[in-house]
Amino acid sequence: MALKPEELIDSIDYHHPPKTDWMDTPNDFKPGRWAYPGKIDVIKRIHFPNPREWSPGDADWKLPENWKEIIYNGMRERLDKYRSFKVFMDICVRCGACADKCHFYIGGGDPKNMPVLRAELLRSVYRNDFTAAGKILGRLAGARPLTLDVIKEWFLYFYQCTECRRCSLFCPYGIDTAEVTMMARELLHLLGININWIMEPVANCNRMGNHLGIQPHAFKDIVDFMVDDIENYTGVRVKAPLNEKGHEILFITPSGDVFADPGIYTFMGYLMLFHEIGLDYTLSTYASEGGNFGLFTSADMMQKLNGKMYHEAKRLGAKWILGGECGHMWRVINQYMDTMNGYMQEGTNLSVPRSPITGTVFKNAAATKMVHIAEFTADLIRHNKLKLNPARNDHLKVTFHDSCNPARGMGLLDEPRAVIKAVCNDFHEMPIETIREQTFCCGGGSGLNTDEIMDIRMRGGLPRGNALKYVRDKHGVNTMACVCAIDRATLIPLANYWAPGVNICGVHELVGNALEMKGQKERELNLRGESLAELAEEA
Amino acid sequence: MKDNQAAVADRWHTAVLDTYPPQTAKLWKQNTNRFTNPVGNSTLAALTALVGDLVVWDDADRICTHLEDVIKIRAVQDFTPGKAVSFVFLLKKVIREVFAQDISRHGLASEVAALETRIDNLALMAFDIYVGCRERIYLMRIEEFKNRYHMVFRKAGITCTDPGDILGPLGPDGESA
Ligand code: SF4
Ligand code: SF4
Repeated sequence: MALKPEELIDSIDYHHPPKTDWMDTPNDFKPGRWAYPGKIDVIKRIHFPNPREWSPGDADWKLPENWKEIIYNGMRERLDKYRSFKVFMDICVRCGACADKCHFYIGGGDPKNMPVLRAELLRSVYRNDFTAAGKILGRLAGARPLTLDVIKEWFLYFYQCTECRRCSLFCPYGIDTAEVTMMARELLHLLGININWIMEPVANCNRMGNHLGIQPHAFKDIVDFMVDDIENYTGVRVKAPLNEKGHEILFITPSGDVFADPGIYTFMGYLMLFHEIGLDYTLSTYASEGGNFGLFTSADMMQKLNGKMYHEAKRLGAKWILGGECGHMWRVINQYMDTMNGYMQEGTNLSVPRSPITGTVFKNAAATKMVHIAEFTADLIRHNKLKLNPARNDHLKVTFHDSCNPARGMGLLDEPRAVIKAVCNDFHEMPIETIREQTFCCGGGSGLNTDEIMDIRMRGGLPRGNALKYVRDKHGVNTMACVCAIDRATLIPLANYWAPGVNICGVHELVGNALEMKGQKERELNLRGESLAELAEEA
Repeated sequence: MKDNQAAVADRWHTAVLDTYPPQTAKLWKQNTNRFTNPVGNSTLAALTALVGDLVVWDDADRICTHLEDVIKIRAVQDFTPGKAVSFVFLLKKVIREVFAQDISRHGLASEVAALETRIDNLALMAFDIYVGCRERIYLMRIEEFKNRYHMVFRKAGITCTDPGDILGPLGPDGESA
């Protein structure tokens, strides 16, 4: 019998999504879904386990024979060592409050990117092997045995978490999936499962002091280029002291500010500011990296890389450390530095930071002796210590992206805004659900800012891009400022794709452009060497 | 069709969301906040506009903008190219569903054929836009690499600000001569 029209239509099926339970849904390992694995010589250089040639696209990941035992022991050790880890494994009631709060889930829709399921990838194994209920009830209690497919799945999904902590904001129990991700990545490292984008910067940092592995003489040449550029644009020759002993302040910033466009314009802003206020400071070619990709590998590596900050402060005799615009650098400093390396302050000149210009004592930095430059500059502005001409930024309509780490990791919300508003006349916030503590990640944090996973990054960056497009269309916003070196790189493609026409800059690039300097010539160009008159005309 | 645009858009939206896993389809249908549920809401807005476009059928640029709002999203999600643009064809099914009775009762086969030709046109435009999105992704990857090593290249004296240095003189439309 012929079908009725409705029935015929019902039988048309263009697409049917898989309907299996999440535990059984197969994983896809095609290129683009994972970042390249660590190179063999890189892994050897930092003495991480199991260096070998391998690819996540291969069936055989060449894991050690006793991989299961390694994971069990690693898990047991960490459950004993970190109480929070055990608590996070035990107390989730699967209420779902976090489910739709992760940018990767919001942008991509893969249920395994719901924070609750992401943690469940690990928790299911924990239940199976570390709890009585799981041992007896198995699947009924949400437990599953540890298999190679589980390990592979961990790799896919714990490298689709930027450790941004947005989800934890919404969890009634304060479960921090970022910390679960850190644990999972540590466990994977024990088997030699890692990504080169994290391992190579770690190895370079470990040996040469910065992510790109640039040596001191080249570092100096590059800084000199910027000193030359500043002179060209302003007529003022600033100093950029390197490795000099006996200065009050050691300044440490992520190396992206020195090497990468547009970070360099922010770096030029720092140099101009320090010159103008006559700051007694030095840079270091050894502590030439504020960033710490060790945070994305293991607690030990993070501690080791972080140690050079105090080490260098001691060698150079600095009284306190001023830190540049960076994200995860500040997570490490604010959350872990004192506990990990506080002991290294012994025998140094370090003391509670005090602004030599305003006299403000930064009591919040009493433990670490490190001050964020946004706080430092906001304090200068509040005390009227800078001569600023915000009109030089009048061609810009600016919004501010709260980087996850400074915002959620240290509560640095108002200082960057205060600085921006002092140096720009036209500022617009993005919608409240997408800024401050609730900010959306750039999609490339925690070492995921590599280009081979650009699709994943664009999915993760979608909620931020969507909010940016909204202010672009509503207010004509053409610039998004941020205080993070990774953001200065990752937000460029994000804006390019989701909100074309919006440029990315650091906050101190805006400061540099607005700053009036003694002895300056007529300022015709901005720090990017663009004609201010032409920019004004275009605006 | 003119009187049923909202119903068509709503069904189409549901059909498109059903290309995602079921939990996701449900969440994205429910949450009407455009900032915390950008995919669900941008898709609905664009599909609604496209249904209107289909009736009026007068401005290719506008249609492309609306198509792009959806394709841009699907081009970076976990879809094959075919699945990424397949949402256009779902509209055929939706129209036949919504108007099933009218079509058979009033013998509207030729009207449906006309409408479906427009939808086929949409699909071709969608394909072009999809490829454009992918090209942009690859360009972004190259740009990012160049930005990252900007000062290192400058130090090595291998920056190039004028593409003519490499490509030779440029033709009038910017193509390498
Ligand atoms: S920490 Fe961030 S990236 Fe990770 S699951 Fe939570 S919201 Fe997602
Ligand atoms: S909000 Fe907290 S308790 Fe609820 S599912 Fe998420 S992690 Fe579990």
